[in-house]
Amino acid sequence: MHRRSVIGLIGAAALTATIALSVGTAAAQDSIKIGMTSALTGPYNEYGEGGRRGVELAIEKWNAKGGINGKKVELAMLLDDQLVPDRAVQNMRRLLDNKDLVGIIGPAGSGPTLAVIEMAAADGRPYMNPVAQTPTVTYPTPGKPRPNVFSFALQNDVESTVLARYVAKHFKMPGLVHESTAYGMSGADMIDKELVAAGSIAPVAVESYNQRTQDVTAQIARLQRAGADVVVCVGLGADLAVIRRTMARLNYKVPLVASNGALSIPYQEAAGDLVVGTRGSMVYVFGEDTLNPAAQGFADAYKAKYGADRWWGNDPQRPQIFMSLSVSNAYDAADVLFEGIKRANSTDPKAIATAIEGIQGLRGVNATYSFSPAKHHAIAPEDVAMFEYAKAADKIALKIVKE
Amino acid sequence: MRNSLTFLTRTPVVAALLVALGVAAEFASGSTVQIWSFLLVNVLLAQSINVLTGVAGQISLGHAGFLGIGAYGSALLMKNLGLPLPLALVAGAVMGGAGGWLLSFAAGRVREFYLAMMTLGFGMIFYEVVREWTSLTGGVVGLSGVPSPSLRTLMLFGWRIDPVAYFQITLAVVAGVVWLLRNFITSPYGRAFFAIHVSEVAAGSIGVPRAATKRNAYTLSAALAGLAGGFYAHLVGYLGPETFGLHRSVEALVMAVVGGLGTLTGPVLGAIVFTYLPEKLQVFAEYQFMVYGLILLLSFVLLPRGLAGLLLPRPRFSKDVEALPPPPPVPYTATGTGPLLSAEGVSISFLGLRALDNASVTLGAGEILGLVGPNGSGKSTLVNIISGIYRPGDGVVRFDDGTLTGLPDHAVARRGVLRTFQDPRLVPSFTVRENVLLGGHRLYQQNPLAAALNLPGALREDAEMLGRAEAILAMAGLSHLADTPVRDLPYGDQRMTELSRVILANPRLVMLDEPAAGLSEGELHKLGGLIRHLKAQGVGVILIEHHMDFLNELVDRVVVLDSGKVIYQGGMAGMYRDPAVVAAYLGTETHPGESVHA
Repeated sequence: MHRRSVIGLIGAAALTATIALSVGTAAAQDSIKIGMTSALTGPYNEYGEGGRRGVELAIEKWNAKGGINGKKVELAMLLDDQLVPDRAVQNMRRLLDNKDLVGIIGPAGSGPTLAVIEMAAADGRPYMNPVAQTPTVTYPTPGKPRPNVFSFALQNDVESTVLARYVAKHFKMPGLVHESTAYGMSGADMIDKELVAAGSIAPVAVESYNQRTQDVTAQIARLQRAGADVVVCVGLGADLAVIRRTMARLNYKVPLVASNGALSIPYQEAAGDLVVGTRGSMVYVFGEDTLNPAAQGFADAYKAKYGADRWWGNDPQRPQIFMSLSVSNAYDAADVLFEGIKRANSTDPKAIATAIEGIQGLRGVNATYSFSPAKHHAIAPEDVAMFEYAKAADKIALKIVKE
Repeated sequence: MRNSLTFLTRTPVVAALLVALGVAAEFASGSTVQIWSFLLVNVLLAQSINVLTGVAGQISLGHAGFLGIGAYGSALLMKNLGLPLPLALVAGAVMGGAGGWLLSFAAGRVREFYLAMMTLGFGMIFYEVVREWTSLTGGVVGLSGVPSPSLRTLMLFGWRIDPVAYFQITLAVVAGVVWLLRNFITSPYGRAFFAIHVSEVAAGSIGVPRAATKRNAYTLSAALAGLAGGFYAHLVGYLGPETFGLHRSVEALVMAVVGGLGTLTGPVLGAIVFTYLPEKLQVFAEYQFMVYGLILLLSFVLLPRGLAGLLLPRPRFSKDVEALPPPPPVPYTATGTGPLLSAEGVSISFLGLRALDNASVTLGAGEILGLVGPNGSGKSTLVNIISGIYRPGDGVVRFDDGTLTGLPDHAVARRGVLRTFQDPRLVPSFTVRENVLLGGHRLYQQNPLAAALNLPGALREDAEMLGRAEAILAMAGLSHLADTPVRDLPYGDQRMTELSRVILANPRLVMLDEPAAGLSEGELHKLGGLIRHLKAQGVGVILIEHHMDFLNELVDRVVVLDSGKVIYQGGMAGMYRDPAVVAAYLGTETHPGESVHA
């Protein structure tokens, strides 16, 4: 795998060089070229390298059936930004400078994505956002998407809606705790509003903490004193584990309901057996008892090419649930881009965007996709479910919570 | 290799290279021009930290904070208030500078590790403030919509700036800033920064105020970082807090260190390496962090003076001016009525130990006073009190009808009271001539702006000072060593350099702490000559010395100290007969001509 990615990068670099030389000579368009910048290496490469694999699998799928309208698809430029905003900006400039590229797959997180999104929007070529959860990436003003930007991430607002609906239905006195980031704060805000809208209940207490904190005793104790019958948390996996352990230490026996971090490996590793009973929201596609055909096809292709590795998860029989946000999101992003190019039968940016907006009921891996001029995000609340950790026969497993 | 690359630092070559780069941008691809612009931002940032760390010797692990102040300041002023680009950039630099000025008050109170930790704290506070002050900075989501050439939203006087023009503007500004910096660093102000870097006490002894100089260094450095921030903000068009975290501060430091601290070419080389290195390392895929670390490790081990130290000759720290002939020396005529110096009833205790006990000493203009006594008798303490390093618990020091007691050391030096130290305290990387020029600090009239702009008045003053320095070097027999860095010189030459530095200051009173120690006969002879020269100029001289032979030839009077008390005042001859002196210091009866080492 290392070897392959090295060769891939060298190949990409070589291609870049050739392309750079041929810019302006209107080289014969015998293939559809796309470009990508992502965190291929570095501490955050889980999403970036996963995304690259997703995109390459999609390309293989399309090329296997003859390409797009007879033209092969090619990941002509693949650049590594390591999730560093400045690097992403430099990479994006290089991608946008390459006039042969038909579409762009963006970085694997909100920081670098926010840094490049205006450049990409100004350029106008189709831009697929695989990971960044911040809604403003796609919707700088609510309801008005950037014309060329489409998001395949689990947006904050979608996640919050799912959490709030679930909590409103099952609990009377929710206590809210969130990390003090845009993600945590906007998430908590949206949950608050949704709760009031859904069941006319308001949180009994709202607390916050800093990312990577080691002590949340005060916050959890306040929730406990306020009599919250559930702890609802918007935060990352490692911090959720600290919260869960604190709840156990304070002998505070109410459920923990949390954002997708609850399903992450850091949470499972740090909380150990305490995960049992924790509920979290997540794209449910890989949690179903029988995978849908598109998901099964994707899983088979992944396993055939990369094996049951870190992205696949521990169970060799089926991919882990988290794969929907690390690999198949980028797979779907590329897939929809190619579908748009095919339908437009053109590489004109506006024609492709219009074609994508016209896609209705397209079965992807993570969801069935429908877009419109006002809707540029792929994953809706219906595609997200609540999961719960349950222990059966000494094995902890995640199960979809049946409504 | 070093000499073959020298031509690269010559002004016409640099100018030609810059013009070529500006023209080349017209033909380069968009991404190339963009990365060149990033490079220029890095050059500014590396120069900024170089001024603070490499030149003034102050550590900063929070430089990303200043970069961020300039970036957010410039971006917000333009975005919200519609300030034009030049004003926004200047405002960013001013805001960064103001931040540095404020931080310097706290920084002036701590040193080394504590300073590093404190600046680290500053960087963290800035980072948190940006994250939390959502209404202004956009918080974690960042600040979008900053007018930027890459979005074609940056206007200048009704002209839409494209990335190439932006690069050319940045290039011109950066080149101008580096030129100003070069002039500044080779001016008395720049040399004062180096003096503070090496020894604050020595800097104070030639009239460099340490707090104000450090404050200036922080302000200048932070203003440069702020300017870099402004250029960065408009280059990218988006600002997020992650850009201004600890890693950015460390990166800035690494660029300057690997490039070569204390030089102007070093940070440029460092910026080039670290702008391109991450991209070039992509071929190493997941091993690139290891390779990056390895490169850092090796460069610190193999290149202690950075790339500039390896590739280029030693930079100069004085301006390349033609020396003017020195004016004929005019001996001082006493202005006051009483003695030049009188210390009256001076006492000081350290941890209960009485280092000086009601000691009184007077000295007239043109008089040479020997200060003798066993080690620990309070000789150096007395000199330290007169020169303002210690404040006496009791007693008063009068000088030329004024009072020195309570004045800080640099203020004492500015009055014309100069000294040397037992161990010569020079700037090791400076040449003999540059070290001597340091002594002129209290005499310079030019202001920092004139110095940075190389205005004719400032250059003339530099030329005059250089002429005087050459004359003193000739007198001290150092002319043949004038261009040698003092770190390569033997002890004796270093001592003579230190004394020459004091003479250049046009002193009224000179205090020499064991100047003869470790000197050869020939050197002693030259030293004696210089001291007599001072006497002839009407300068009062206090000599702390154990070398009785040497003293005997020079002094008019001696004062003998023992356990902080004056036990004898008078001529040398009388001293040998004084029973108290014999008991305390001389031990057995000796005769003139013998050297006594207590």
